[in-house]
Amino acid sequence: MISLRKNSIDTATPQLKIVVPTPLYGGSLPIAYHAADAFIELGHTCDVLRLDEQHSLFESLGTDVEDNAGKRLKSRFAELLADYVVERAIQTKADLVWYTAQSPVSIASLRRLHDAGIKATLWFVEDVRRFDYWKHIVREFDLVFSIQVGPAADAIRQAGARQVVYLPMAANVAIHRPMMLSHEHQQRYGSQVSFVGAGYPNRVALFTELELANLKLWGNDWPSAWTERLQESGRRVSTEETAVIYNASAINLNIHSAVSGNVLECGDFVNPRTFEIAACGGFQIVNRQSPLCDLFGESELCIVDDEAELKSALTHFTSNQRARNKMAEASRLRVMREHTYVHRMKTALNYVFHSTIQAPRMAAVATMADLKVAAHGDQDMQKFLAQFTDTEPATLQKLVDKVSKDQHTLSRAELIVMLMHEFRNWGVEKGVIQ
Amino acid sequence: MSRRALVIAVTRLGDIIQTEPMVRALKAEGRFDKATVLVERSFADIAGRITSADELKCIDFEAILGRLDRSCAALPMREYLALADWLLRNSFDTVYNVTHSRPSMMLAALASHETQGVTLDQQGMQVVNNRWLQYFFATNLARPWCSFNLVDIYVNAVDPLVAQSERKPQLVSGGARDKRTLKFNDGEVLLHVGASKSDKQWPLEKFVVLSQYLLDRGLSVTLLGGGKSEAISRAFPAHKNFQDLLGMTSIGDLFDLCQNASLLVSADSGPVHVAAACDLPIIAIEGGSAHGFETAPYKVGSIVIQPHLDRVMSRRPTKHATSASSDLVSVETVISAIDFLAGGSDQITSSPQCTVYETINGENVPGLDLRAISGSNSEYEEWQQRLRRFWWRVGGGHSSCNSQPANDLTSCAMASAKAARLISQAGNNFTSLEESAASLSATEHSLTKMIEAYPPLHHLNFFLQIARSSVHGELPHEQAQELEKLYDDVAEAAAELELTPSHRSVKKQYNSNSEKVPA
Repeated sequence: MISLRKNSIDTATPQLKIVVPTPLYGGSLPIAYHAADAFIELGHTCDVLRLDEQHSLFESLGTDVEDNAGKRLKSRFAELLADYVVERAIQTKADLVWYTAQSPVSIASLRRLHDAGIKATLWFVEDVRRFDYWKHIVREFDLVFSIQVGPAADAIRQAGARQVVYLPMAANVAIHRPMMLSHEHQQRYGSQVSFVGAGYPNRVALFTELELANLKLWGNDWPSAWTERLQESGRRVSTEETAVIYNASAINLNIHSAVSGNVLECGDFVNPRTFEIAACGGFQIVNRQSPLCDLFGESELCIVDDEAELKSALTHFTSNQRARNKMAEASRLRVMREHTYVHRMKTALNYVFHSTIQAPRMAAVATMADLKVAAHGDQDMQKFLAQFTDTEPATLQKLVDKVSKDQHTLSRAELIVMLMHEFRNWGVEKGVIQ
Repeated sequence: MSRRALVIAVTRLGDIIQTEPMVRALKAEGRFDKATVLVERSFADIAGRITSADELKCIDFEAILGRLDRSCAALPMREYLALADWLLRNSFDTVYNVTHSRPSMMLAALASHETQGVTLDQQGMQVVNNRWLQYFFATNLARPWCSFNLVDIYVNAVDPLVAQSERKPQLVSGGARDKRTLKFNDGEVLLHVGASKSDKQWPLEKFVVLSQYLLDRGLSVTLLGGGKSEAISRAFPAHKNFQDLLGMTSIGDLFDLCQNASLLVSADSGPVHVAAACDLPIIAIEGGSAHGFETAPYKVGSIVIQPHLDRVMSRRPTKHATSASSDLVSVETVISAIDFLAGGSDQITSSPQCTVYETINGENVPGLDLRAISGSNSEYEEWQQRLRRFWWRVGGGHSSCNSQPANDLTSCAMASAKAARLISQAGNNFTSLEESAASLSATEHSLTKMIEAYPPLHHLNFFLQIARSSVHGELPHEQAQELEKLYDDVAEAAAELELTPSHRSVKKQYNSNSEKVPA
């Protein structure tokens, strides 16, 4: 159905002024831009500081000047950029500086922001085990968002972070979207099986073992001897190109990087590729990650636990286009409903500005049975509450989670639940309740 | 069958007063037989003075909001079900939601499928119905460019043709409720010092100097404010003609005070609107998030002192930045305004970067307008007059007699109207519909870009975005017809704007400053 109606803008939430300093380079760079796009789409004023434009100068400080002198210059340059971010935020009276992992930052600059009353958050979109610089700075942020759960998130807390919130990756659906490909693009980027990403040891080991004849590998750091499967000399692939590849591939392999010796490790975060392939309407086989099942269902992604399952899945889905298409469409709809950067940034801003994130001070929590008693005689609400078992704690969030996110006519009971939800958000925002 | 309207005004004191003419308009000419006003319980007193309302419904925030606190063990399910039942039982034909908040949006969606203002549509999406309430939302995101008093926006949402004489808020005054014994003297001046942390507040030390001056002149001074504050009270001189009523006045007291005093000096606040309803002379000091064109007391002859927002002609307008701090307003300006009102002077001493306005009846457009009587922000004021004419036509008013030639906005809006018309004519051919829709998107994009060249028009983009997200109809041709009408109206009204190359130069200024200018 064609509709001329545009997306509504949230006229009720105050517009914020948000400064987004990008990293100089690396995998977190596009994520900073995606976040900025989402802030703008949410109606906020976003000041994107494109620090990646300084990358060549930064690198030249290390290459043109030898040894320690070059390192010191690079360090001072990074500090200068960090100070620039802060002065810019203060000058423009920003409400928030949104740092992404690898954005230039220093303890002094964060303290100056704090003194100016400007909130600072870090979205750490890397595996905490691969770096350690974050340990020295996380305590200075108002809030740290982590893509990891479990011990990794605990490690951030133990390093002194005031608040750590799980905020998984997402897709920018303006970039990663279904495409009609030209014949030329289909030829160049298309394949039966593809993988886009860097050649981490676990992936090299896996593809060595798999010996797939119809595999195209895109990305850098792969064995140079793999001339046939490695595309275009293993150059880095742009974000826009990844969307074309995901669209052009019958099967997109999505193998998470691993720090252990395992080839298919069940890690504690879901990579951006998972959301991006899905947003493109691409079919993917992905190795299990502990938070994956909270984000997608088994009918939306083909999730494998080991090499045997991976081989079996490849065989099954290679000859079953219909099943591929069905799962791909289901995963795309899931992303549109729940996993865009707009969803993530909206959630993040709610945490930063509306939530106290304190442990509930509930002494004795009422149960769903209590709510059912309170709603006695109201058939519509009784029907809604019948979705819950009597012994469950009756929290507002549980009720809200059951209100379908699909576009539909809300039932009276759903409207009442959402009325409570909006009143609570409003009360928290105004500071009258917690 | 009687027709019933519900006005959701879950908001503050001043805003409730400002809805009164709207409620009266709802009852006029047989539009509705019964009007109910929904307010928060603590404003029941003031809402009860809206005589045009047939019924008052109060929401008790203590019960429905307080018990949503995380510390409360049980959700207030019974209270919410009772509220929903009340809304359902009353079967309101139409809801007028005059607040911005999301809770009010949900209330409107629960109350009726026919809502003017913000609500949810059948797909559960936020929509804003009614062009004047769309304007209300759009200018809330760009407040320096709101050209209409809130009273007029609300009235126009019901009927733009309501006569000027029917637009002034009328409230039942006085009454035997919670009345205290107050001392009144001849020549009593009320100083409303408001909340100490409000960004709208005129500095306390200036109130103190003003107070001393008034006492020296033999006048009585009464201090008003929302809460008792020892620090504020101690700052004022002890004097036999000075009384401190901080945190001690009920709504009834406020009415009594306003009926017996000679003057109120205040920042934008609820008491200003009570005073206007009581015909008390007023000096309103704007500043911070308050702006005179939107918030001035609805009483002709009031004085409004407005600090200028820095670079207003070139900056990107926002919800928060409306005018500079009221610190800019000097005590001398306020004193000379008092002399002016008392007839002792025909001039007002202006403060740098401030304009002193007098409230007047609009000339070409019905409603309250401002006329500069000291100081000037001429380019801004000229734009406000153009915008009043422009929005008056977009909102269903008649054209003025001094329309300007067609301009960029005319042509871009006409192109969008034409593209929308082609969709209406495309029938059910999917390919043709898709092409036409793409064409409409392209013309809308051009229109948006064109408007961005003029910062004073940015709120038009917000308006169009809200209007586009709120179009009715399930089928493309139904939506297209509404869009065609929208763009046709904008194109016609554009003739009221003098968009000349010199105005477009604002764009260059804006672009060159955009990296440096705080938004």
